Amino acid sequence: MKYCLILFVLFCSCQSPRNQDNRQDSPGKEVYARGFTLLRKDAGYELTVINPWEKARNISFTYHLKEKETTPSGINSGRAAIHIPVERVICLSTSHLAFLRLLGVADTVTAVSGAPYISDTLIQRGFREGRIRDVGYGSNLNYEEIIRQKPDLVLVYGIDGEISGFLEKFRDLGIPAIMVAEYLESTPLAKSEWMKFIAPFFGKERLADSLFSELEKRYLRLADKTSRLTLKPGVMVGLPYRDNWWVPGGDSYLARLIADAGGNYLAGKSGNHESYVISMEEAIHLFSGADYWIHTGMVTSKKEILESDPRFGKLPFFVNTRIFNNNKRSTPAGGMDFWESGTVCPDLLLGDLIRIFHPDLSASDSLVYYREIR
Amino acid sequence: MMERGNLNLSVRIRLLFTGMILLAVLLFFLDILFGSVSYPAWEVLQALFAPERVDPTLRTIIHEFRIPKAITALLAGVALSVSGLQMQTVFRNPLAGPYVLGISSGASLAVALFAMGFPILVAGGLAWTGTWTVAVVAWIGSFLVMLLVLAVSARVNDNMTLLILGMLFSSGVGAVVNILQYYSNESVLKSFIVWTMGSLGSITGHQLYVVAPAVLAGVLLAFLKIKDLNAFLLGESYARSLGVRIGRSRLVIFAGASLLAGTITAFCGPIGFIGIAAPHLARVLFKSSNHLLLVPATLLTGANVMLLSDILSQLPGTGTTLPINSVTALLGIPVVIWMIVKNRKFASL
Repeated sequence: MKYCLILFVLFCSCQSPRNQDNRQDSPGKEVYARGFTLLRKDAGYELTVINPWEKARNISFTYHLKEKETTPSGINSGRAAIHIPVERVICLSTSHLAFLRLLGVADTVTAVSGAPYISDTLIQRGFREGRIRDVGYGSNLNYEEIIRQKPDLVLVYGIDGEISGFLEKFRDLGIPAIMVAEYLESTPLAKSEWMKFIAPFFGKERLADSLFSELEKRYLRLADKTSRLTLKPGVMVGLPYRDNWWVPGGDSYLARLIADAGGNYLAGKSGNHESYVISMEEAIHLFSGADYWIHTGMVTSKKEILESDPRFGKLPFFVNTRIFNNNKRSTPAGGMDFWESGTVCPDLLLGDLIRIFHPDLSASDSLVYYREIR
Repeated sequence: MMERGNLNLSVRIRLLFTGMILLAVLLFFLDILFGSVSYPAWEVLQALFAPERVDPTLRTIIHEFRIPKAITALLAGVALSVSGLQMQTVFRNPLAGPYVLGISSGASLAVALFAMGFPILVAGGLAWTGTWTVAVVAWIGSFLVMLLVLAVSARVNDNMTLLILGMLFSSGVGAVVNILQYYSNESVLKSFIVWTMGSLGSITGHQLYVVAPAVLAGVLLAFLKIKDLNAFLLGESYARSLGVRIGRSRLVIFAGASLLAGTITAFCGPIGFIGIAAPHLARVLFKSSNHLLLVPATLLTGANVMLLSDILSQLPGTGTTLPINSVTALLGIPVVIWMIVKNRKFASL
């Protein structure tokens, strides 16, 4: 605990008074997101993250946020209190960076995970200039570097229960780590609504509310354009590895995006939130009537698809579909901005897909995240 | 117990051979008939014999996917079991198999370096590459290991030393692969793991023109060395006294076995268990240790078990599949356990 106290003192010593706008207002209620709840408490917030990894059941984490001036206590083993606004943040997912960038607090980022995969130019420059460090990724986190950064917040995500071990480690180290599970949401708006979860840490909840309601309006206006369409083109997703083809479930984020864009997702087994694997034969069967093929991994040309498996040349979906990949904006290492800034711009993603599936409904001429594969 | 001289084929043996050949033909057709998507049998038969009359999608599935996969299963079963038999005989060790000389380790290391090492060093871009590339890389890996083993075996006379060196080499390679895995991101890691699970279905028709001749050559080498293999069974000094030139003979056998196992591993990934189990099954069924009988018997057993494994791995009608490696293990292990319990020991070598 002594160590925690030292950490706390260090946090305080490098804090400067911050703009404390709109702290009196009640934050907007979350409408779409199912993974978190947000409660306004005296001089702080209570944030709860629910089932923050795939297959998690009845698991939740509650975080208490206290404004710095009101409670001079550090992190303690019982009730972890995080002092806001935070000023030194480590992001372990590129999508978290997008929230910070949108809220105008990307300058608080001191370290990231997997720098070569990050599209954000500010972060990239910070990394090149040595102001922002890379702390590794997955199970290979560089804890010494994380401690050295003296973060007052680490944004963590987990793909399975293993993450609870890491959270424990963070707690032992006295580092406030919170789970951000936006990637589990099954609709684009729910995903971006997590900006309301991130905002209180920086005192930006009113900004988040207004940004989100604008975003929501733009998205719904676009989705409305396709809602009365009867002719919906067949859409297939992904690329196989050897003879297995992983496809998003029928209740997934991508399935919803395709539906909102007026497409008919051909592998949409309903009730399935997670991705699942189908055999090559099943894929050929399901996708035989496809008109569009999207999200083809890293490929940039039809030739690359054929090189991976020459048999594609004989399959109806290869011959008959137009192929669009979401890697127009990607880093040399293969990090896709679709999964980064796209998290907070679902309206742009939807706009792209409407432009692809129904060019006559789209005012725009160019695609933001997608490129056609020829 | 060793039968020498001319083979006196009993009725039982003749029946067994006929039965196994018929079974292989039957399983081969069943493998084409049953895929993960169900089609009526007569439609599949039409696609086979009158392809112009069926829907092009079905035609593609049968001709581009199921037939090459069935041929691959046949070839893989033959190659791995024959190469396993040769290793068991040369090393006089019932637990030896096609991978005892480190062939799958060599292939794994090469694929791991290619799939995971390059993205780390060159910052990605190679995460998704064609099956030819992976196969060539894996083949180079197992070929280099083969050269290394041949070089060592030319200097080391003792088989046990070679066996231990092979094991040590595999462990060393495993450590390097672990390091690469440790530093790899999830998607690359997943592609590698999927590779290690084996796959018969990713071979295309063109690749079969490489795999089939290689397997034929390997099997031919095995047949040419039948006399030496029989001599090896009696121990090296006895073999020497029979006039077998141990060093040269071992070299040829290793080269043939490596060609067989290396080629299959390159195109299908490491496929476990068949190479260890099929020779034992053949010994029990044919009750012989004469390689003139055992080589063809093992070859047929391997082909049958592999075809059956492939049919099961398709989980017919479910739209999904199981990794072939898991099926060969789950299918083979109970059979071998049953054999051991029944005979109270491993079929004698």
